[in-house]
Amino acid sequence: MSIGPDSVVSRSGHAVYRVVDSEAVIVEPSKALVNVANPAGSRVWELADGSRTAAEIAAVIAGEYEVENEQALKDTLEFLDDLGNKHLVTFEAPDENART
Amino acid sequence: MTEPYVFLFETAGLLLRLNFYDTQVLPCAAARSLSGTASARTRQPDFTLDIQPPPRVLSAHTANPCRAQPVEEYNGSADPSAGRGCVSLHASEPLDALANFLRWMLGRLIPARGGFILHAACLARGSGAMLFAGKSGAGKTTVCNLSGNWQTVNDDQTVIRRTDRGIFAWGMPDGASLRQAMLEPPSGGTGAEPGANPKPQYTIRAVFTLVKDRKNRLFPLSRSRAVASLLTVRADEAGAEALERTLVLLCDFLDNTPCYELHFRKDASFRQCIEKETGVLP
Repeated sequence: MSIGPDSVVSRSGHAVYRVVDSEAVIVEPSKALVNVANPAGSRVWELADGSRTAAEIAAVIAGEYEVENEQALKDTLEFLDDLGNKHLVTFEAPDENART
Repeated sequence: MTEPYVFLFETAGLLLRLNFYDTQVLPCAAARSLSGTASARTRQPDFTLDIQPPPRVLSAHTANPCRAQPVEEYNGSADPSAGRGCVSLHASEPLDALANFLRWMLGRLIPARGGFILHAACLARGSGAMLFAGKSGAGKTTVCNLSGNWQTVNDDQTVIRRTDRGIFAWGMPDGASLRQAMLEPPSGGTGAEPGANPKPQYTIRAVFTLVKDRKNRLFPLSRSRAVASLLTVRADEAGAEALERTLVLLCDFLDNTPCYELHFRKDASFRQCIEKETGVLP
């Protein structure tokens, strides 16, 4: 599934990570792939806990980093799409019943 | 079963009990001096290895062994969780073959014992060490050959492990260190623990990731970049759980250890570059 603003985002259970000096080091063990996310990316990663949509994550980023909502959403979607391509996050359509 | 010749060998702070069922693989002097029984031991070994035992022992270990890919010089298996293994050696230099097997085995044992193995050369002076990390061809051996008065602990793989006294580095065993350990007198001179002389452990002063270049340059790495760089030059083969432990250990290790990307020319001038930045001349 590709990501959209309404996708609920979850970190992959396989991913191993640690936040070091506000930067997340994220590892995909089966591929020994190591990623380093900057502080904003690290915050996105931490927020991707399965309880928020991409748009909600972007709204938090917009507030914390004082950027326009539109720009935050664009950057967040791009970053999450990249993580998705590396199988580090998964996307689900929102479950309206569960979220109301 | 015949009593083995027992040799205790300490490496990376772990005590290995090597049960030699075949004395042909031992240096003559070692065969004369090693104990024939396992008595008078004060410390439980962390790992027990049967060397070329009878076939029935080869398959007698626990249900979850990992088996080394058979190679020309040895055929063996190890179960790190049970602390047992066995190997048969069929090489003209059996102690070299044994050292190769031990390195394979340590690649599985060390992650289970609070450590990891880096593709890194280790240079030491006194109890301090510098690590030079990089995959094959990165220049680890070159750095060792140009290292001045520092002692080369090893030029390829270094064990990093947490003990109750901190995080330290050790060299990996090779045939020469096995031979030397077997032939040197035991510490204390009691003869109670032949071969149990501990190998030195080193406090790591700095880590350098190697990049061959035309100019010597040193770039301090942020902790996250250092963690990412060093994770990619791990030499052990561990699963996801061990990888998570390694990540935690690396972060703790880099709390107090500076890490740099070292661009270096293939001559000794890189040493001054390091001295200028760190105050220490390798």
